Amino acid sequence: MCPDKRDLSAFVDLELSTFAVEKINSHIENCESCRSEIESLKNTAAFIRGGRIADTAETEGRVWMKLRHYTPHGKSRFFHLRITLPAPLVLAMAVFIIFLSAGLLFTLRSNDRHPVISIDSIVSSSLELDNQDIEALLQYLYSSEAAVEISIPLPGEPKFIPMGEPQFLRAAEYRRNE
Amino acid sequence: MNEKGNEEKSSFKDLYESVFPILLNVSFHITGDMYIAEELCQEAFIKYLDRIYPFPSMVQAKYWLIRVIKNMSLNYKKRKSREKNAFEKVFKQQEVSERQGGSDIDFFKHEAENMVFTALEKLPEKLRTVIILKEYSDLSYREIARILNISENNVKVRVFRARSILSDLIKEEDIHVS
Repeated sequence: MCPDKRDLSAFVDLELSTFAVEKINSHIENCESCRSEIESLKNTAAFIRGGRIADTAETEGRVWMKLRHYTPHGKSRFFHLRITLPAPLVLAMAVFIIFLSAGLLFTLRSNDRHPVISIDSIVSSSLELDNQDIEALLQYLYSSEAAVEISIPLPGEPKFIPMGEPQFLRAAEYRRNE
Repeated sequence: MNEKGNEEKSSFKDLYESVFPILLNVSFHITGDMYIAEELCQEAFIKYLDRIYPFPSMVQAKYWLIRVIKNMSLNYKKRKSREKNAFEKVFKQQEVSERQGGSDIDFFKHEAENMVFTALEKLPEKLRTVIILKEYSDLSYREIARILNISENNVKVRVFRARSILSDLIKEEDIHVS
């Protein structure tokens, strides 16, 4: 009983188990048809293999040159998260930051442009504000757009003016007066 | 970190060197075009480098690359034949078959390559793919089965059928096969 031709093909490819190989070997000793079939299969396989491109070195080198400088898109060695922001958002953020920093710079510099006027200096200046009241003083300050630094020098020694003996009111009396 | 980088680089080089000849042979014998085969090989490795998750072993990477090059080559061939059909329809003439050894004669260093390619072209796609993988790589039936996602028995049957048809073709053409 001749084995399946497909098994003879597998036999040629060394794909059969040792047991199956032995069986076929002993069979073909006495079977010309199977022997020639195996021969034909071997020849066909060799024919196909003859078309193999053996000299791949040049192509291999050329492609390698192109690959070695290749960096994958968006791939990071440290984390696999790729953050993308839409262009309008980035633009808006940039504008916001610019305005913020400009505003900060502006407020910082404005302190220098408006000098601090101390009430001491106003009083001692030739503006004759001595007789004017607080309201006029404030009006003056407002008109000059000055920042006000009010320093009230406290007297060195306490000057108490006696106004009489202090009266101790009892809680009950206090309520009586209400 | 640098050490790991170097390790990765050297293992990629190892993979590249072991797999490249297989990829080039598979791609060329499916598409029939050396330029295209080279480009497809480069593309396959780029796809590999673009992968975020690495393979558990070099063997897995090798199988994946072979599967990729097979698919890319078959897709290219389908696209090419559609374009060719469209071209013929528009110009209402038989287009001189360019890839039958005409303009590519430079690439066929030996006449055998030309004959083999011509013979392989006559096979149906499924048989052609399997026989190419069998004869141009060092893969076993089992490995081919895994790559193509078919049974081992299926691989055996297809290999036999391919050889069967080819041997008839060889006899027809009376090609000297020694």
